[in-house]
Amino acid sequence: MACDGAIEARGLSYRYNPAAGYALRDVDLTIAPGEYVLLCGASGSGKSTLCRAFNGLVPHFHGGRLEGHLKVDGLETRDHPVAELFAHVGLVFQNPQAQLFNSTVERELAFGLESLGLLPHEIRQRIRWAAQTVGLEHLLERSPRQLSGGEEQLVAIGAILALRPAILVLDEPFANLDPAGAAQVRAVLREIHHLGTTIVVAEHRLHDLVADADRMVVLHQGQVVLEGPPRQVLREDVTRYGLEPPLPTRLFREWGRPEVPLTVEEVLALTPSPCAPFSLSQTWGGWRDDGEGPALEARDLSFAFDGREVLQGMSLTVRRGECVALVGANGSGKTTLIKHFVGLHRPARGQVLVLGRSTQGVRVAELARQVGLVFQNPNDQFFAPSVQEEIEAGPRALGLYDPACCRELIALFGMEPLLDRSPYRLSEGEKKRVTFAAVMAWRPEIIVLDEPTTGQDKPFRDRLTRLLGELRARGHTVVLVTHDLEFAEANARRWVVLAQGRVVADGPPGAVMANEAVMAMANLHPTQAFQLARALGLDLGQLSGWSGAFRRETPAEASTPDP
Amino acid sequence: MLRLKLDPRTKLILTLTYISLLVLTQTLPALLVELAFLAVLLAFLGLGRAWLRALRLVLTMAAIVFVISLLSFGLAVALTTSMRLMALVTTFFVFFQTTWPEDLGNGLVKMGVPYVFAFILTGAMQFVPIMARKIQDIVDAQRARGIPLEWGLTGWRYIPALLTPLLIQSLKLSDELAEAMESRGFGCPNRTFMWEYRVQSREYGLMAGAIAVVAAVWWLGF
Amino acid sequence: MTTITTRKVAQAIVLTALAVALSPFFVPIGITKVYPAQHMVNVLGAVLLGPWYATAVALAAAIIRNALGTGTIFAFPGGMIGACLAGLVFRYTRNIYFAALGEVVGTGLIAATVSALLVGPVFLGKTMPLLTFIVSFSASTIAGSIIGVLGLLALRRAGFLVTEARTREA
Ligand SMILES: Nc1ncnc2c1ncn2[C@@H]1O[C@H](COP(=O)(O)OP(=O)(O)OP(=O)(O)O)[C@@H](O)[C@H]1O
Ligand SMILES: Nc1ncnc2c1ncn2[C@@H]1O[C@H](COP(=O)(O)OP(=O)(O)OP(=O)(O)O)[C@@H](O)[C@H]1O
Ligand SMILES: [Mg+2]
Ligand SMILES: [Mg+2]
Repeated sequence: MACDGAIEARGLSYRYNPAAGYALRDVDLTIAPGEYVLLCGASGSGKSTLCRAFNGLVPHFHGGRLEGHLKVDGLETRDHPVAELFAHVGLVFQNPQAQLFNSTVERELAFGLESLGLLPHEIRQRIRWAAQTVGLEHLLERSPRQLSGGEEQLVAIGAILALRPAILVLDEPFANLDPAGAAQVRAVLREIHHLGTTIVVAEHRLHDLVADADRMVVLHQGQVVLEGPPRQVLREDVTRYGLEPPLPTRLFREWGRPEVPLTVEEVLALTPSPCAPFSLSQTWGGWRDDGEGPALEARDLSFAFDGREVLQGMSLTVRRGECVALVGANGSGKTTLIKHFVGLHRPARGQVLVLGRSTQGVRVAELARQVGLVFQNPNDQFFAPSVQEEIEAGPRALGLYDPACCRELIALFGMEPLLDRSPYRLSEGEKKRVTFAAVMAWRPEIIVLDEPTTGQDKPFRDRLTRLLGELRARGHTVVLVTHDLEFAEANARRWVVLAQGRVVADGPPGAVMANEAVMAMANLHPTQAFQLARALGLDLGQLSGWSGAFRRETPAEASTPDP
Repeated sequence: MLRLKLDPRTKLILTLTYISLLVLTQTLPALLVELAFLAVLLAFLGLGRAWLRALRLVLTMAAIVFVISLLSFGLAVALTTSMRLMALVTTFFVFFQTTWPEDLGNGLVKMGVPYVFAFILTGAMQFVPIMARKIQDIVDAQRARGIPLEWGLTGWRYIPALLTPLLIQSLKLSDELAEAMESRGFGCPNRTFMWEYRVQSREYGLMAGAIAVVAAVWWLGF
Repeated sequence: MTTITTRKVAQAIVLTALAVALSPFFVPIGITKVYPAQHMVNVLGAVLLGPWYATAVALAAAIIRNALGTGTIFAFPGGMIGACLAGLVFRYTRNIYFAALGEVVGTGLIAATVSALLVGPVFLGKTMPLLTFIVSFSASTIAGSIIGVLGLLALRRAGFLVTEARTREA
């Protein structure tokens, strides 16, 4: 095995099929052995395609035409099938569920090694080594189905790592993880990097990760538009490409300083403290703070799956007109809780009230008139041939169809150009917007969004922030369930933290993040804005306004390419 | 869950032997003895509770068989028929509860079953809970916007609301799975197996004994 | 092993899991219920994967349902024969409606007869009345085949239908 771990692309272009546009265009890229590369770009920019090209799935699995040259670990991918490349370039995918297909973690780690034709004792050795490196020893006997999201991702990484590939490629490995899970995966990646493995991570959220990487490669519409060490790349304006630089970088740019700090520590090292050369701006106009009475209430609510208590006597009140973020670890019961608000789950003990009325005995369709629940995965609901029909399906089924209202909504969401398209042919961000519209279409007073930003890029998040502002202005009550604390911080003045089925904290983001015990219990990490504000001695109570002050309005709307 | 430390092939042969025993014996007392043996086995393996949980769906099937045979042959036949059906189901159940899917696959491959089929079987076992969760997610998402998809499909009208997302996502999932399989070397020509079982001599004894019992029962004509 | 095989194996795995996970679903018809899941999957498998894989899917689903205790011995003939026939019919006609017809004939007539005349006596010691089998098998398979065809049409409309002989590049 010529294990150098280098990647070299020359004039690499690729189309999935002759009718489609180029997913990769003329990519020239050299990655040295042992480098840690962050591959970033907006949704649809070609990150996943390039990752697949590295281990030969493109073109051997997907078909289509690959032009130019791509050499990985000394092998020209075009001439070697995936069955030969997989041991040189390990590829970890975004969805851990789909890549775990064995009955125990140990067998999961063994599968690739068995493919290599190793002997049982070698396999055992390698499994032990991989399990140690990734920190899975205590899970080896478990079924992958009994793991948390973060553990699943670690198993997926371990299963690839056991092959000892010279290059490890990961496609959005943090997408569904809570902050602590993400931090754990990051630490494992740093460890693997220290062992000399080349690492490529595709990701569109830069903030933490960028400090780990030796090099950043920015893709835009299939082309490499920027590359180099992170500090050098971030000197450029990456918002053009739908990316958001980390807060410290943005801050220094705003202050007009030449340095490009990546972490809070660097900012502090570079700033004579305490200082606050920027102003607080409140961006919270037009919404009622302490509204008139409760919109949603859970009283001593308990719920169990197969005898396992997921909600354990939790209580929560959301007032009308409020915007509340519900945060907490993977599996803490957030989704389970919000399903109670429309009656998809019924309390085992305790009570749920919607607009002051108990949900007991009230049908789902009845509750849905008041509570619009938008789930995480748009593909779970599309069935109509066009976006228009998709949006109208809900109100028609509920008997609340109002053409004028739908038209107005479609205008609000900027979806006129999409109406006749098939929902399945939209980009991920557009799909997400259709699901919002499909639920807003009958104007439920209360709107509950489950993980609205997962896998979404910066332009989408900006757009969603504006939309939420609009909803608040119209007096809707909004509940946001999210792992994305930056987004929660920018949009909700009240956070409710769930851990093990109980509410462990409830208050303004600043106060919540200041409580280290709660943050640790809920697998959360304070945002960079919070860390900075605290270190610079600013008022924590007002923190929620901060990211508003830091946030830059971008004209990046148009930079999401339509496929 | 208890997994018996026997070669999967031995377990398979023992299971098949027991099934032929069930098929060969015709009298009610024999059937009762066989059921009693299964009950003891369930208790011994600590599978009683799991068995009761799994039973609900089979009971409807057994009830249908019971009614059909009651109407056409009378009570005695109806009883033995539905009891034999239960015994068959339980035998399968015990076998699968005591055998890791991969071991079964491994055993099947050694018995000449194509690897691809063994892999489909073991892989599908892992994906059943994933698909069940997926179905639940879709039903929830649709019901949350007023589309009545209660368990059991109350109307034909909304079948597409379940079916379309379900099938499209199944295809997407299978593409992701295929990519993951390729990336882990599925289909490499000289695959080894980490757990190699060898049929021990006492297992041959076990198999011979079991077959002898069946032959004796058949010979004596119960 | 080629990419096409890998893809087929993956689809077979997912379809099998789908058949098992959907097996508790029923459609009420009058006072009785029919369980169409396996027959729907048979039609899908026949068109997407061809006769051999479709039969393998039905076999694997029957084994797993027996393992989980959600199926009985009748799951074997009740699924495999229809799947195989539907696959063969589709291979030679390339028409999804004929494939569904193959499934209906395979299950409603052939599998019902086999169950009544073969599986019944051998495993249960009695010949079961043929007509009851034909009626109950037919109800399930007709419902399942209709749903299967609806599913295929939905997939085609969404542009996801790639039938067994063609590959993805098309
Ligand atoms: N399997 C596929 N078949 C056809 N076209 C595809 C396929 N996968 C991706 N594409 C197209 O290729 C282009 C690049 O997509 P890709 O998935 O590589 O983007 P990405 O940067 O990974 O985006 P995201 O952040 O949303 O994951 C897009 O226009 C997309 O529509
Ligand atoms: N349908 C189900 N059957 C069995 N267990 C379930 C089901 N849905 C959820 N659970 C379990 O309940 C617990 C809480 O799940 P829930 O989805 O509410 O968590 P969450 O806070 O939304 O997590 P995440 O951030 O990962 O979405 C988890 O341990 C999960 O495995
Ligand atoms: Mg991607
Ligand atoms: Mg959730």
